[in-house]
Amino acid sequence: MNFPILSSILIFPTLGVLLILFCKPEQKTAIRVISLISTGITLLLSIYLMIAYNRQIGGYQFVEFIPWIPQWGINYILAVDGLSIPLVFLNAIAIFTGVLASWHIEDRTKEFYALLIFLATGVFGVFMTQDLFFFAIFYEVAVLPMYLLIAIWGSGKNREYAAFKLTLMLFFGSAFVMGGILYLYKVAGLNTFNLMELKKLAQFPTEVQKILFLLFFIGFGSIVPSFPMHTWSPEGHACAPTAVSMLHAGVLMKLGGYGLLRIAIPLLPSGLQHWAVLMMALSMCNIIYGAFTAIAQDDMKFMVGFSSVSHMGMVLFGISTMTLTGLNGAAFQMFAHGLVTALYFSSIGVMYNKTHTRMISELGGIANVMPRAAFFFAIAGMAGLGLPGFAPFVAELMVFIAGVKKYPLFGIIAVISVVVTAFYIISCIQRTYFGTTNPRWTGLTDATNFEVLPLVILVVALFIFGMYPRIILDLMQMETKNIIAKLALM
Amino acid sequence: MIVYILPEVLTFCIALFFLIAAIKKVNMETMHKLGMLFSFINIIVVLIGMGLNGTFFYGTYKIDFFSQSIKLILAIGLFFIIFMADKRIEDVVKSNYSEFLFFLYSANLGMMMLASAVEFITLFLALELSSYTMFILVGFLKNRKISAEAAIKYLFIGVVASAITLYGYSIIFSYYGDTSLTSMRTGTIFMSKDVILHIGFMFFLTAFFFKLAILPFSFWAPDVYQGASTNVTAYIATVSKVAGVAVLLRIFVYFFPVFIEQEEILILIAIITMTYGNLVAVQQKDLKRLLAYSSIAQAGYMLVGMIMFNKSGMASTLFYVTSYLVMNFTVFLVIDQVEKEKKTTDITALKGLSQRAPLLSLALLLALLSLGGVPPFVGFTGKWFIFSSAISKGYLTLVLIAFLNSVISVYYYLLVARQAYLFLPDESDKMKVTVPVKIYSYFAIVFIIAMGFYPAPLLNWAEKAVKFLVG
Repeated sequence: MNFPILSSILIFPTLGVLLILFCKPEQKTAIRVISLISTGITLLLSIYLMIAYNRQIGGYQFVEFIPWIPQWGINYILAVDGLSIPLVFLNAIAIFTGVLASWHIEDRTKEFYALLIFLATGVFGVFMTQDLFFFAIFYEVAVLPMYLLIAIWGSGKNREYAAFKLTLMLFFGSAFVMGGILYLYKVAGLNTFNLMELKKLAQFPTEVQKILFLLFFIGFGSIVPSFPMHTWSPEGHACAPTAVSMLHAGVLMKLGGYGLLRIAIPLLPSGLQHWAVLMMALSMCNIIYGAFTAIAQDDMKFMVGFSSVSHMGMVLFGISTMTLTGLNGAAFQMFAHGLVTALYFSSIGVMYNKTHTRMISELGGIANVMPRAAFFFAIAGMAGLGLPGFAPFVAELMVFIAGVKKYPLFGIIAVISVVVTAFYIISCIQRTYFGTTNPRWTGLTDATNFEVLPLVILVVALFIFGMYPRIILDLMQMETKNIIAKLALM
Repeated sequence: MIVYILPEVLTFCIALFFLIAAIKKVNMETMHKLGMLFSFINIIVVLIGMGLNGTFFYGTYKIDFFSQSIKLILAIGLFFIIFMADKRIEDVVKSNYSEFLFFLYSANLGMMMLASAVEFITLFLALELSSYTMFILVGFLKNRKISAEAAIKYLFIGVVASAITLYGYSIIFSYYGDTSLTSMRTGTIFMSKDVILHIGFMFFLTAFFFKLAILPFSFWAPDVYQGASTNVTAYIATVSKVAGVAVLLRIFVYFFPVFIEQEEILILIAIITMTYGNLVAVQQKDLKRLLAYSSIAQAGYMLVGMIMFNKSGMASTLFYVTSYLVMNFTVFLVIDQVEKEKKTTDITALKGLSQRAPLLSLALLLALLSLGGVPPFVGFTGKWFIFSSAISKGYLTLVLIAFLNSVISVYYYLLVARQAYLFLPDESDKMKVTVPVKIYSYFAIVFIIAMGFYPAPLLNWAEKAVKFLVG
């Protein structure tokens, strides 16, 4: 057997967590270094995945198969395809930069890093496993540590409330996912949770597809987050510590879109067809409502949170068009939005560490004292509002092209939302970073080279994938083509 | 023959030994050590007799892999309970420690017999033996009013439940004229669809529903859990549940043609039980009361597995109840440790536990999350199996309700964990944790995670046991 590269992507972080647990709480530097090394190795491995994946053959590669509980149809299957590799890479980069960005955490460092890396391991698992039982396990592992991470290390008075809301709403959603998976298993009648096999062999009656798709849509929709299940997300972003916001908005929300693209749509194409209009309507709510609410926010993290709601609406909108361009756009938007929000939150984090406030009304002229922090936030903002040259531009463009074709009226409304986005981002940058410096902030020192390091990594990634999106797009297209083929058969 | 029933004989002898020892006031710590030693020997004896098969006493007593497995779990559970009842136990128990052990062993004897009895009178006697000793154990803290109240409640509801069972059985008896469950089993296939008979069978279940705290026979649970000594509560919440599940499994397997007709009612009972338990648990401020309601909810999940009347459902219930023993015992052990120090079981007693005893509180956290059905812990895997056997019969709504229920339960389990993790302790010193407790905590952590990820060993065992039961 070849070197189990996918298992090692799970094993190295797990080892990291174990090592951290055996450290003494005082050995903070050791804990940080262990975290950095274990996440660094996974980052390298995920880059290797992207290079070594054979693009001529496509399909599932690096397959690892171990029978786990044969009589219940459960197997330990890890495999990646064009859809999962970019997301694995995204997660690796988010956790790596997240570890760097939370270097300053002094309070209960040990538990913080253990939980953070545990969470990332769960996300890796979701993206790589092809067995629905393990999918269910990893899916909740990715949610669970959030509660403690936000409630203990978060900021703001509301953090416990936010943590509870987030955990419970996500568990509420996952209850539907679990029910859906079990029902899928039963209806398929193949006595297997093996997704690869289900995709090949399973046939579902149209009526069942409608029910099942609705279950998955509620389940995955609440993590995307789709309107009206989005309320946990801005609150959770705002109260979480920097690294957690980065992972949370950068990667965790993508689990929803990924779940839809991985499980729900290929298996239940008629279900999507039936519910596509509802999905489109909800996604419009996301896009418009999220964008306008973001204007009114004073807390920068809340603003970014609502802009995430708006941008993740694009993912759903892309999916609901049911065209190749739309799906490609949706998949690429997940990736691009992940990088952008990670950059947003880490740059806000750098500033917040000094100012201890994120209220736009209290800030002002920060660029004069912290030019670096301002620079990176501005870059994130430009990328976020869809400036050509950065990854989100490509993604949104594709979604819009597909959207306008399929739903002309709503497509145009979605395009107009970009103007709103530009408005709130530019006005935020203007009010926060430029203008006269509030005397309260004159004594601040700028971010150090070390603090800027994660930001640089993210900007470089954003720029590379913006200028040459085909690295990712070609990969994703291999899988989205299959999905479209299934949809076309309907 | 003595080889076959050696575990029971041994338990009986140990119980007698402690009864006699009660006359001579032997030092409590010696008794504790003896109790641990004997229960350990008991485990080994059960293990030795694992592969035996046979029917004894004119077909009233059946020894097979199923009954022996249940006895093994019961013996291990008893070992845990005695291990927990160390020298820091309440003074009343301390001064009557031999009696305490006598009753514990007697109760365990009754439960062991429950696992093997295949004849009604034997079954009923075993049930009463375990119940009556429990009534006394609950009232053991005689200087506490709340304990006496709990015992009285437990007694009354228990007696009523037993009476209804007897009444139900008398109806069944009027149809069959036989008390042997095995011979009735062969007859049930040709059973008449008589309404009265079906009512008889439903009545027959009450005493067992009482044991598992399934609605409407669960109203004793909160008071008893709160009133009894934590050791006894732990016993009721863990070991007693295993026995209840074992006997219910046997009844459901033996009479499934009758009960399968009542499946909708049973499903309704399960749904109401879990929803009631979970919703009321949210409001509780006392840890033991909270766990009482949570145990009602858990009984609802277990009932779901049992009333699917298929092998996978039965096996997954057995899997679940076994893991439930470990999870729930872990929670009680931590509560007990905290209670011994702070003399209260209020939820705030756990405040800052993660700073004062990191290992204990990690074990508590994992056990709670596992009870709430959060992966990758064993509670999730158990629920997954139960629900997947439910869905194999097409009950999508039931499964969705059950999953949503476990979301509610996550909320109140997190309320408990929150005390341990989010707040700083009032005291600055570390909590004193003995080495055995530490060892157990490691065991619990490893068990909860390992069985969650790789449940195959435990599941295979449960499936084998169920095969013998159905066999």
